[in-house]
Amino acid sequence: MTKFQLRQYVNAFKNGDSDAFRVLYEETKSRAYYTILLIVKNETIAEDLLQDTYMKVVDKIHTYESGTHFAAWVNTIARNLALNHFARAKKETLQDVQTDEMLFGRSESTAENESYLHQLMEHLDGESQEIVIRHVVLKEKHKTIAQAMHKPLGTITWKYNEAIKRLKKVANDEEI
Amino acid sequence: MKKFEKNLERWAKESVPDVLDKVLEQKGMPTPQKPPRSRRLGRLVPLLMLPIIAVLALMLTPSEDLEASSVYLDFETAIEIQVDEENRILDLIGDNVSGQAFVQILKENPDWENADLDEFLPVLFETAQMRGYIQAESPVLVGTKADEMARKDELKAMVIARMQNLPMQAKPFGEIYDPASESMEASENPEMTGRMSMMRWTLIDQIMDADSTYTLETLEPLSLGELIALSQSLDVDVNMHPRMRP
Repeated sequence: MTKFQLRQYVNAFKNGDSDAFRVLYEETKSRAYYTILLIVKNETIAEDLLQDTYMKVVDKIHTYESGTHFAAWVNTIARNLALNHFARAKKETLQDVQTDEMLFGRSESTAENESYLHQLMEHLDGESQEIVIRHVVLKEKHKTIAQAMHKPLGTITWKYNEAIKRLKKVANDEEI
Repeated sequence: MKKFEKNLERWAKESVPDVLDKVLEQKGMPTPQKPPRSRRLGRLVPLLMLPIIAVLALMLTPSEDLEASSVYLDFETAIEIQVDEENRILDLIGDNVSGQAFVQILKENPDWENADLDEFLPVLFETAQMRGYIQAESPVLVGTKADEMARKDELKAMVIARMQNLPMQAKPFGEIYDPASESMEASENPEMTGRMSMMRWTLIDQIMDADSTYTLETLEPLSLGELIALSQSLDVDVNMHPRMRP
């Protein structure tokens, strides 16, 4: 969808068109969800925070300035909610603060409700999961990922290539 | 992106939990049975068709569809500024070790994201001066990258003009240079990533092309000022944009 079309939907939503909201939701939910998941590292909590994100989008749409990038605005809300949750959970030492750094943990869900992606990702360590999601879904460059994860660029590139090789093998060889 | 990565992206999208109905319900918005997507979009078509002039403008200006573009600045500290088509900042990336540290400082300012590039440049140079990342009379290399050549040139012209017209307190640098734009694409040598900025590599690459007796080992330790002087002596195509003086 072009930025122009996106702006048309935003304007329609501001004028109360709930169909426009649905389109905007579909257009932005993936980036928002994985941004949250990278921070909270728990799929159930990420789902709750994704809901909170769009509740806030509805509440705050009148404050959104038309000139700015809508998807980035939604992402900022998502990231802030995730960071607030993470800080609060850490402070209160809640049990659901992940320590193993896995985005797609093995104990997270039952086989029935696991997505195909989840089943694939279980074959990677937490760090590799994060690198793949950042590059493939969030479209971050390896250089940006290296900076964010405080790792040398070569390590990120190598781990990414190894992770893709592993995922391809799993997808081709195993019945998931 | 390769086919498998495309599939991964699709699977990732399919794995996102659907919270739409919950949001609509909690916000008291209508939650009818979802009609087919085409019908839902169809209801919005008149909305999109109404501003005919705007649609025509869109057709005439393909740059509306452009993805992120980048501005590269190197004053020994090298950074990349990613902007959207409206020149609002999407990301700041350090292009060398000093650039990475400088970007962290810039990002301490909570307003950097989505800031207008035109308004952000004075802040960037003032910060660089205050924190010692740039010296008076330092040369600055400017480069840009975009999907279309016209966008690339337009962005570069805008940045250079803005830099030339900065107030003196925000202009702690000497002359502004831009290496020939055609060579910028070729200069993205992945082997050099992390060792030096793309701008510096462009310059070194051009010098080695102009005189094969120079090697990477001999050129890498040189300062930007020395590289520029060498480029000029070899007639390498490095445009100079004189600093405007009040």
